[in-house]
Amino acid sequence: MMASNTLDSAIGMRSPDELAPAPLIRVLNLQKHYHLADGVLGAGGKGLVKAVDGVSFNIRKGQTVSLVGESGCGKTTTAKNVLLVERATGGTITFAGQDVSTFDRLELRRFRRSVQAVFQDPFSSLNPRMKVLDIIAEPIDVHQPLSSMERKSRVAELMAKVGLGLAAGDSYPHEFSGGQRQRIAIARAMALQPELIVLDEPVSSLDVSVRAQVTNLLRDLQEETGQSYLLIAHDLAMVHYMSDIICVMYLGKIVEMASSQELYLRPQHPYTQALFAAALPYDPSQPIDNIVLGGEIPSPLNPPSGCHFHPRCPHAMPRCKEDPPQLQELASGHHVACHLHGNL
Amino acid sequence: MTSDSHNSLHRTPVLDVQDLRTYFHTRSGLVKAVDGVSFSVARGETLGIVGESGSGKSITALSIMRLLPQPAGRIAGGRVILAGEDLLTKSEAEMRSIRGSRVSMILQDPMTSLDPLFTIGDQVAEPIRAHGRASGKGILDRAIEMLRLVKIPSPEARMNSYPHEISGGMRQRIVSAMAIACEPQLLIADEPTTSLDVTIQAQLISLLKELQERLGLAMIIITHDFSVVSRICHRVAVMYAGRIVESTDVQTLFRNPQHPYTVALLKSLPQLGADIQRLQTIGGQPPDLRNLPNGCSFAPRCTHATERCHQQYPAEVMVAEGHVVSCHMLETSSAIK
Repeated sequence: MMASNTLDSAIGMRSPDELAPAPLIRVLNLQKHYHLADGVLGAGGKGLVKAVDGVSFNIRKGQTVSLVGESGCGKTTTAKNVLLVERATGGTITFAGQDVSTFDRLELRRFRRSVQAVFQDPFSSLNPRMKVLDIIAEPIDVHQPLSSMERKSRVAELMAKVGLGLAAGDSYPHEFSGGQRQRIAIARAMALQPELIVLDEPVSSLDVSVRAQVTNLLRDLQEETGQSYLLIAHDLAMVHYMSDIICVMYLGKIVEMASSQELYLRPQHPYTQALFAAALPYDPSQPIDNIVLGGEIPSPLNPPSGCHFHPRCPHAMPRCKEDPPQLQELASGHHVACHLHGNL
Repeated sequence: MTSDSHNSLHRTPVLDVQDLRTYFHTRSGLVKAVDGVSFSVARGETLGIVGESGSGKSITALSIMRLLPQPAGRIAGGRVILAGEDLLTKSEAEMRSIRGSRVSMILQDPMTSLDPLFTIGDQVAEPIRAHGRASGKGILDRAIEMLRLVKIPSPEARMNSYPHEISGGMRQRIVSAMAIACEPQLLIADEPTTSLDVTIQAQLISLLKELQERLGLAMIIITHDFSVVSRICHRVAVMYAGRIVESTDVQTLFRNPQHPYTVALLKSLPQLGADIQRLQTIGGQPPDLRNLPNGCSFAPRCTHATERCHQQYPAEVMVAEGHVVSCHMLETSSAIK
């Protein structure tokens, strides 16, 4: 369990004396453990998947916080918990200072208005039988019904914001390309002027030539509205471009967390270093830092002892096999969980 | 990595594709998925075919393999010459003996290219048996040797595993082992790393490079990912709307791209390290192949487009040795370059 004051300095407080407002979302020691039902190994014991195991981070107003990592690292599970689609099995999430587990029905409704999501695949996240206008207006219809005139003008405003022509309203999703569908999904997410939008791989299913359009759109909208983003992605170059804070996850834990530029300039955890090495510079005349990690991503069902990364780590020491490293602050706002750094 | 050493190896191409045209007859009209594509690949060389979805890169690969969806897809013209023989004139029976032995293919999703009901051993042994490369116990020995070549840990034990028991990265290695089991002359890999995690992608890329060096394979890598291109390809062909718009060696592609599409695409990618305030975008959407514009297909999205671009498709211009671009802008200046 981490002292929350060290965590605060990791997150957005560029100078310690600056009086930062309370974070919009505070995730503290979040755990999501799944019991495997009727496993041959029996309940509890080994039939337990620690999908998220003690994750802490804050999201402040107007910030973009990213979770990066490979499959099975728990980034999507973490996001589902923040969206309250899944309920945490441990730890707390507070929204605007209030513990989400204490929400009553009305508060939960308010929360659902304030936190929206955009998913990876705009082909499956839009109802093929609804007109674009109704898709974008659906959150409004559910949460704050408007007169048909107002509704129409609100949708028109949203469509203009995301760069869709007015004529699009009467069409169906299949009539649009991937990039345009993602614009529809973004317009829907923004319909209620949310404070946080969870973006789960928002551009990775799009054509390369339209990714930049959508990435820029997301940044412009954030500048305009001051909304926060929780971004989940695996493309480090894109994450670096979009984020204020990056959390690198491996098998359910954050192994390194720092501001975007700091993480790129001084990655400390061997896993982060390998991820950056794999996300190559495009210029093939530049020397390639050839760290090819051996091994596979272990099963979260049976994670390695000690530091989960030790079987693949080029710097592993005997201690790494036994003693799980804690996340600790190396430099202002730069946190690492690795025995190579610090001496906890 | 360098192109020079490869230019010398060149010009006894293993594969020579000339003016390939593949059309689809659909209810909504004729779709020219591949419309006059030419390229060649030499022994020990890797050609990258880059493009977005719908650019025709995968259909080009399927046309070479003669595995087009039937009856809609039809090769309307051109030649696909593998070591002197035109594959387009082969019968289906002849093609069956060529696929998996002289030309083989790795697909994007290793879960769907392996049969869930057969063991790894059965599947790696299948091409060896089918093409008569060994018999009896020799088949299994060769299969194990292949697994060792693609660095599967404890290959003997893995022979009895089923695809669902192993990870995605390992499955893609198994598929690679099947592809090289009969020592093909040409290996085509269609988005081989796309479904894999980043650190596993890096492993597969270094494996493919190693296999190529060891076996002297000619390789075609089809991808939309420029970081894969920069890591493994010697030469690159950029496709847009069914045609190659630019082809050159990999260094030139990144340092001195000439076609406005290539230039814009490279600029729109966020790059690590570069302190970019804002990504440059390409306006508009990828074209609808059923309704291609007259003239250059990229013209509606091109910031340099002139009247002429909207009327006439540009001819290929050789702007430098081995660097060919289809763009009206370069036609006039080609003499200088």
